[in-house]
Amino acid sequence: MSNRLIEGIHLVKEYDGSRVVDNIDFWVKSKEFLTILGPSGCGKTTTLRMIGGFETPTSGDILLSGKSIVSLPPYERPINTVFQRYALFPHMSIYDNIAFGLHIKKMPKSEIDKRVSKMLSLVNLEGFEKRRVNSLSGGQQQRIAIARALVNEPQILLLDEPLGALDLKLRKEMQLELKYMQQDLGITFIYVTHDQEEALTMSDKIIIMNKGKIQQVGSPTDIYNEPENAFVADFIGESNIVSGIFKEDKVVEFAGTIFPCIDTGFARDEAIDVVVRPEDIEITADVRAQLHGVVDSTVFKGVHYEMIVIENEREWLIQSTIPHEEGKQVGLYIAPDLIHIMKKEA
Amino acid sequence: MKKHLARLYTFLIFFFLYAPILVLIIFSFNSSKSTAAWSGFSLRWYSELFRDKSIMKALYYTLLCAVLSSGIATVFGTITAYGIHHMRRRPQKILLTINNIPLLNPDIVTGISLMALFSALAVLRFKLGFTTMLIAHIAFNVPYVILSVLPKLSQMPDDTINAAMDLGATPFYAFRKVVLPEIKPGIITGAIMAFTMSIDDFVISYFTAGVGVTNLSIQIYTMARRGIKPSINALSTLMFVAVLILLLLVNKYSDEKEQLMS
Ligand SMILES: Nc1ncnc2c1ncn2[C@@H]1O[C@H](COP(=O)(O)OP(=O)(O)OP(=O)(O)O)[C@@H](O)[C@H]1O
Ligand SMILES: [Mg+2]
Repeated sequence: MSNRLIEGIHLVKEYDGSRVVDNIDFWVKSKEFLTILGPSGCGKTTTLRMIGGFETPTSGDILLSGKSIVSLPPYERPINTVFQRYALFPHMSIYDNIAFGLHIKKMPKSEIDKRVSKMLSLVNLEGFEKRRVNSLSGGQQQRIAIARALVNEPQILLLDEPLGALDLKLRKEMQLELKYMQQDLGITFIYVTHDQEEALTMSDKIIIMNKGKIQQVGSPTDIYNEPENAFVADFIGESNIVSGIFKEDKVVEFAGTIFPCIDTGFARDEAIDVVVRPEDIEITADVRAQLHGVVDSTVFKGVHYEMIVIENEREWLIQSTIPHEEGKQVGLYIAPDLIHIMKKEA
Repeated sequence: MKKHLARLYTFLIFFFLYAPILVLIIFSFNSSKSTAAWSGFSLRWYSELFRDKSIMKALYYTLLCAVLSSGIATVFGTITAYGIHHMRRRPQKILLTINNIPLLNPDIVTGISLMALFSALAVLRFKLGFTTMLIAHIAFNVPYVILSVLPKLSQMPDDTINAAMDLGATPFYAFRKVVLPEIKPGIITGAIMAFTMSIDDFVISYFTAGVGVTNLSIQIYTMARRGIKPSINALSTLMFVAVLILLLLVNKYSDEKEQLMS
């Protein structure tokens, strides 16, 4: 228990009777990078706002180092937030925005100056001290919002889609930069995004949410390789998801065919979902082929070709570096360890 | 052709709007008592005005009432607007409607109902006088302040106050350092509007001031009943100029804000 820095217990938030956050439990260790990942409207921001103190949970508790903080106002929590819509102070200069928290802490002016300019260079906006908020682009404002929160070196930093307004290149740069700062300053990050790639590259631990409920918690590799249900599998990357029947340990039937697999622990003849990633299906002409179909389309995607193969009216999405022309008869092979079996969703 | 018609139309509108005031201003400088024939320029009526004790007393009450009522209404109105801004949508809408009713209500109804209220309170030794007039002015000024402050509050980006509290500001500090500078133009506009309304008001003051207390508009009304004297023109001219200056100030403030925004 002692290594849990912050912990949510049976957290519920209702607005006018509808549950937006539905009984979630989570915890974060000190200096960990936790990402809350989920589609728009799944309750990510609401969860973050409860941790920050801007919303009171309908029920449940939030513990910081073992002590409940739900009754503490935001200004008494050692937590800072990067808001989804930046929330900069429009009438203040960039300098005053970033210095706001340090001023309240009554830090000497020379120290504030030093920290502000250090922060500005960290977010690649050197010399922006005197600029007005309104004269900055969305991406620049977003970086100022990060600087304004991070400069206080809080125990925990909450970030609500902080890179949403940046273009791809800058976003990749800032991802690395943020990850570096998090490790360098030893700050615990709770990071909200709906971008699965961002979550997979940056996080130590990912919580996947849908409709207010936690779908899965785990490391990026856990989540990518062992999705616990069809929602996670689908959300984390494009996947082939088909229903099947668990015959016995290490044997599964789907697409009218018996496949060897490596999963155990399901009931005999239990209805299950099978997930196969597009890059895990091999197109082959030899005897190993388990399924047979016709290539319906082939599209070049930069590093690989994306093909759709139609087999008995089922579509299989396949990624491969070797293209096959449309209309060609092909065989498909899936290795036993690349077949993921998941409980059927209720 | 169309253009000329449009010009003519504009001219006529402005003529009917401002011709009476223009006549008033011109004849306030007339040297004779006539309000019809021009007999030369003079400041006679103005000096008479300033020597008239009852007018000076009315001026004093008018200014005192305007300063106090606009000041107090600005504080009340700003706090109320801040509260309304933080309400949930449904009660917010209801309150805004309630806020708008006095604005649309005929002055005479407001005046008489306030008088009725004050007479009902007379049991508590509440006599009509300067205090009742002041209270009435505060009452009709607060909605104007609320209306000019609220839009500035909603113009603030989402979560601005939360962000301040997130960085360690208490709600009061956040209000002072973040909210107040943001809504200042609205507060100033509201205050000037309230001041103008107060100087301008006749009907409500007439019913709530009681005997012995008169403001300028009541004074003009009483003088006019005794027969038109050019000093009324002089007094009206001064009031018109004062209100005009205040309105220009309001406009200037809204313009400056807009320039900042763009
Ligand atoms: N103050 C509120 N009153 C009523 N409903 C709200 C309120 N705030 C959020 N909701 C609702 O709660 C749900 C979850 O909202 P939330 O902002 O947490 O989603 P999100 O996961 O952050 O989505 P996004 O990725 O679009 O930011 C939404 O359906 C939203 O409409
Ligand atoms: Mg959100």
